[in-house]
Amino acid sequence: MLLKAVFLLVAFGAIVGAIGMLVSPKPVHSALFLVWTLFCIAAIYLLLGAEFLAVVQIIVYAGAIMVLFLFIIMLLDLRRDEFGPDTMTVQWTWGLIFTALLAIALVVVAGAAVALRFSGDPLTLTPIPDLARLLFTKYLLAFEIASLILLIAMVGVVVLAKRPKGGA
Amino acid sequence: MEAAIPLNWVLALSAVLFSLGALGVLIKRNIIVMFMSIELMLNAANIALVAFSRAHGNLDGQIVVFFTMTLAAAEVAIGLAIIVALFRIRRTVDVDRATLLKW
Repeated sequence: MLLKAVFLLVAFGAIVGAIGMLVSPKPVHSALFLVWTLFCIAAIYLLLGAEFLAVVQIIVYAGAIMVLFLFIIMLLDLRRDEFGPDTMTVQWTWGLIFTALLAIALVVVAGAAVALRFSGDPLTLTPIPDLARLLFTKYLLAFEIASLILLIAMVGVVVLAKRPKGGA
Repeated sequence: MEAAIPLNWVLALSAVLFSLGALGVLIKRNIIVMFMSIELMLNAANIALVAFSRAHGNLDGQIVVFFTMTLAAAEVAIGLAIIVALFRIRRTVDVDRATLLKW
């Protein structure tokens, strides 16, 4: 019972953060709301027993990725009158309609998963050695490819962000 | 023993967060906030993966989430570099004015 109450509280917090991200006019506020949502998602991982992912979520998402976002927002010299008169009324209408349809479809699919239930004690955490064993045996190739992708991303960022100065 | 959280609740949360992310991509004009919405959608999918991993009692779902996070980190770095490059050319983060490939 307590577990459910905590879950509902955290889920409510995550949704409020996501809505705040969408309605706040300044990108910095959006980023901070998203940090809040990512923290709530880390708490949900913890409630689902995935404590390794909860820690990684906080370090990688709330730490690295959102700091990168905030850094870029502050690096770009954004003016307040950047955006002219709102020309997006059509997008607002259709965006809301289609998103509502999408949400209904997804919730119906979620309801169809009713036959599946969590088994075992809900408070047991995932043993990290098991996770590591799986990562370095069954998914070893994927692990290596992921490291390669990170390397390529790093080189790509340097190339993209370099100021083109006389071809050098 | 505590009563477990129903799987449906977790999946419903995932669905709602994914829809909010999709809404953000559709209605926002600031390319940075659109990018944040994409991150939110990735996270919503991750929640569903962890929930199913827990329901099936194997860890493969959690490994997939781990790789998703890795790729999200790479994707954010590249995406923000593209935004910086775009800002350097156009002095704006308004997607409506990013029309270099339009004509």
